[in-house]
Amino acid sequence: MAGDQILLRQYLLGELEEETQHSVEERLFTRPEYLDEMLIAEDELIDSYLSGSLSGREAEDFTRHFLLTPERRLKLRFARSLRKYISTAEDERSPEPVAAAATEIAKRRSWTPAFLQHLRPAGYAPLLLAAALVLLVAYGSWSLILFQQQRQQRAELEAQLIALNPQPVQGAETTPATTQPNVAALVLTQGQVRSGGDLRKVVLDENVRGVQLRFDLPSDDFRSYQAVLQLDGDERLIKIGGLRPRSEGDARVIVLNLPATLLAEGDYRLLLKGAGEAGGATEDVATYRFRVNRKPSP
Amino acid sequence: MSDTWTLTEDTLNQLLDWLDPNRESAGRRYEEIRRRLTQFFVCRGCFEADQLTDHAIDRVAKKVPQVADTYVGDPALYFFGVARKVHLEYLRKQRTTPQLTSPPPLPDLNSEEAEDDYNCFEHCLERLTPDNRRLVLKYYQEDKQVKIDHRRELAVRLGIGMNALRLRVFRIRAELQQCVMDCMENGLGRNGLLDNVIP
Repeated sequence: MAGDQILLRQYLLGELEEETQHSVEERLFTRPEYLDEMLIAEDELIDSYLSGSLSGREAEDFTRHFLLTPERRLKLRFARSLRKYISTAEDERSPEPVAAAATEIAKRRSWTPAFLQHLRPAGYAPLLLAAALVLLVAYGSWSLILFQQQRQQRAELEAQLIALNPQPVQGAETTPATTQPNVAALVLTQGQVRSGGDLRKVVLDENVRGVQLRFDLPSDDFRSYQAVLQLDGDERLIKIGGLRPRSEGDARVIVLNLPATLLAEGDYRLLLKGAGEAGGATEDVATYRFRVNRKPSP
Repeated sequence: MSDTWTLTEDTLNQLLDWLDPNRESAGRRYEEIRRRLTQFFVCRGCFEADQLTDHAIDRVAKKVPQVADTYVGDPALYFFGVARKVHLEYLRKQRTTPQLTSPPPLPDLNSEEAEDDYNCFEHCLERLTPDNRRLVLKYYQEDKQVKIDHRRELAVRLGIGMNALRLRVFRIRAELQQCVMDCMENGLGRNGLLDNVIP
């Protein structure tokens, strides 16, 4: 509380010496804003009395001195009604105690901007509820659209992958072309490390439409295989199943064709898993690593 | 205190001329001084502050023809000086009539009167503009430190300083208070009366 406010409070409670009291009253007559300041101090003093925040001596002075006049008793009655109205309004908008505590904790932890927290008073509750419903519906619609978009993208990707990876008929020993135009080829061997000089790289430019990965199998114990591709630092996984090995000379290899658009620049980890009969349980078979560099458009 | 002298139109005009040559400004000045006089007597614990204010003004008005040409300084201070004398006379009179010093009992917070007051309050609150109603209710929400933070945020939102907010709310409260006090004094808070009397 500022010095002037303390002085006014003491004056109103009759706690000042005659000389100081005189100087306060002189200001009342000579300073234009002083009457308003004094009346504000009166309001605040009455509110403090009603909230029980006056000290014992102040409360005594309040009833003994301040409340002597009928004007101030009317003010006290007015302030009592104001206080009752505010507390009734607060009770009406307060949730149950446990929920209130939870709300308080949530509020402390909340990232909600401060201006939203002002929308708590009772008058805003229906508005907030309506807004929440609108947001919920909007979010639901948006999620549905997003889900449909993702499903469509996935279907398109699957179609691309199927088209790019015609699986050999069992027993047929065909070797996919590695010299197709606009397809970059990369031969991977097991366990190639990122930091090593042997890390295989593929450079993609705007003309490259697809990437062909060829990797040899340490052993051919499974009927089909699944490739799980992951870009370092990205949680998303690209899983391509139903891959069947081919023979290239003495080696058994898997050839995987990917659309170039699927590969961003960065280091990749490819985990090869063997699938049991009828696509049953899988088992890790080998890990391959490679790097994709993208050449900027001229 | 003599009650024989009465304020005439001529003396009032002289008084207003002394306060300000412009009659409109003089009227405003007169009202300001009157409010200060009343506040002075209220603060001095006088039960009949309005009557004492009238008496002080009469006393000054009576003196104006003698002092107007020679008095140097703010006339408000002259009123203050007279008010102090009136107060001293009031105290002397109080000592001879001690029954006046017995204050009325404190308002009972749970009385029927409190219910009537609340009816008046609700009624007068509705008469404020929606913006003013919202502001005054928001201003008085919460307690202690939360209240201070709350008011600070309110001031920021309104783009004004804390003191300007305090003053703005004070004026709304004063308007509301006046309405409620009029309602209380006329006993309009009793159930049903408000519906018939105030639109």
